[in-house]
Amino acid sequence: MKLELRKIKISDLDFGNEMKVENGKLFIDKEKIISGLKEIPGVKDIKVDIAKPGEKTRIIPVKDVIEPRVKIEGKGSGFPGVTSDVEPCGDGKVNVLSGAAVVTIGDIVGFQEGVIDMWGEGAKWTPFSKTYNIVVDISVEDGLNPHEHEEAVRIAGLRASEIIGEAGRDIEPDEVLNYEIGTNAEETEKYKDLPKIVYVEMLISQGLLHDGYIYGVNSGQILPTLIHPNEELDNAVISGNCVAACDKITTYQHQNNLVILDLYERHGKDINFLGVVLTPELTTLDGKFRTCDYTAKLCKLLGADGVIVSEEGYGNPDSDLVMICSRLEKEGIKTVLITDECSGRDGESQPLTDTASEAVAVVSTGNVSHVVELEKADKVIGDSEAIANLAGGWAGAYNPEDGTMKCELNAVIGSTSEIGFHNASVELY
Amino acid sequence: MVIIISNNRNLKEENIFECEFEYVDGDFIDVLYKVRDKVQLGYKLISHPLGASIRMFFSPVKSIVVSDNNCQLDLRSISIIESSIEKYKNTMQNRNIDYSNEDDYEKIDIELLKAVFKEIKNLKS
Repeated sequence: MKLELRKIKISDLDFGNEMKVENGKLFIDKEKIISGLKEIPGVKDIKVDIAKPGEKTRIIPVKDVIEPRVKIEGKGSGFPGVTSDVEPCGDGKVNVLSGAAVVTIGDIVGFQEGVIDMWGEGAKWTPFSKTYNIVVDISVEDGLNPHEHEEAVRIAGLRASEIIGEAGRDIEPDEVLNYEIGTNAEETEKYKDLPKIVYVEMLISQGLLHDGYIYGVNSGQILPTLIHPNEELDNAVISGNCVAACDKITTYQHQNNLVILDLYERHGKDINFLGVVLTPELTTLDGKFRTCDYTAKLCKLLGADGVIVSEEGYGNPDSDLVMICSRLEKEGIKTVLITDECSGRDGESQPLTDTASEAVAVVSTGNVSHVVELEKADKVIGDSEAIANLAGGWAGAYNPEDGTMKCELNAVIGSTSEIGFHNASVELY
Repeated sequence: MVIIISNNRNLKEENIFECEFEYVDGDFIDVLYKVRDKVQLGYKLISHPLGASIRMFFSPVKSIVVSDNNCQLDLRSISIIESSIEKYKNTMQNRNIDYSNEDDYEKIDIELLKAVFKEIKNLKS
């Protein structure tokens, strides 16, 4: 498979009479988005706003973030199986409005938090404070059940990214990145002496607000499956996950999965990147055992020497994470885990809900319990009542005098991304 | 035969699932304790006692599915429920239960239970 991601750098954003890119500035035709999204069944009202880096703007509660793109060559435009006909992703040319993001808001339940601050302390922790955000607030018809509501909001975000992505169709890119990996036989012939590496990406797959989709198929309905890395980079995997703000993998993060991009970087140099196994995180114990057995078996069948596993979420998925690790290590396959920690305010509590003696190589992407102080915003896009959810974790977190509040990283979108798409890093002493 | 152990008031009013239901008049932690009692009596855990995100730890509502008493201790279930109780307590030590959104947590709890029963059906068929 050969994919060309053609990056058009977006460095400014404004409303305009037509959707276009001029000298790196993206102009948004608000009415075009509104009329396009109102065609989606169940959608009643759409509001569109913009948020730029540095503005004292807070976006809450964020459901998903999507990168606007347009496929200019090859099969599978849009999100095949979801917003367009089923076709394979991963081959062809895609124009990407790099630096822009569609951010969807619309609370399906009252306890959603998910904050993006575009300035100050909050901005340090979310990668989406650096993007030029087109915020789409979606209201739905009365009487929809929660599943229909979630679907309408999810589809609206994807469609908005397509409508906006069209602005880049005829624009010359600033950078062209090529991603090409052949069959396992071809690559192994080319790189005989390099260790064969598989990436296992776990997806929350537990029901409403806790779902991921692969070509439109709910990941809760699948056995672990092999996918070419290009397919994920080309819109095959999307998020339906509305909780776990800090460590859910948004659609944007799937489109730019940093584990995949880093493995690509090293493919043919010091590793042979065999592919991606997408693994559902189920709710039943038997489901977990079957999934973990199957994941290890797929990696072994592929001939992996090493596996990198990334988690999504916290809590019961920790069990899947360490079970996959145990099974792989027992097969003699070196395994590295990527996860975040819930290790208390002082960082000293046990970080995961489960452990295994085989888990000896673990990368932490941060402590979700870390407390940050958010300043008062000049402008709130979304539901200002949802701010109560941020400070709701414990008494005294909100200071009514100056409007500041303390919240844990777990409420900040993408702050402890378990695929490494985030800002937190390590300091050496 | 499976049993739902739950403090979800909606399910107490109407159990939409075709199985036994045991209501716990208490919090999330009391549901965990009740499940531990059951596991010690030989019941087996069917669904994992914890949610998939930290937000779901704040939920005042929890339903957990266990299998009927098979009179044989399931060590794996004992280990999972004990570590879940410990982790729940650790996670919630500085945090408050989010009672203000209890109605929504009840709704989501039922939706997540539906996914559990779908999984159970897939496993059996």
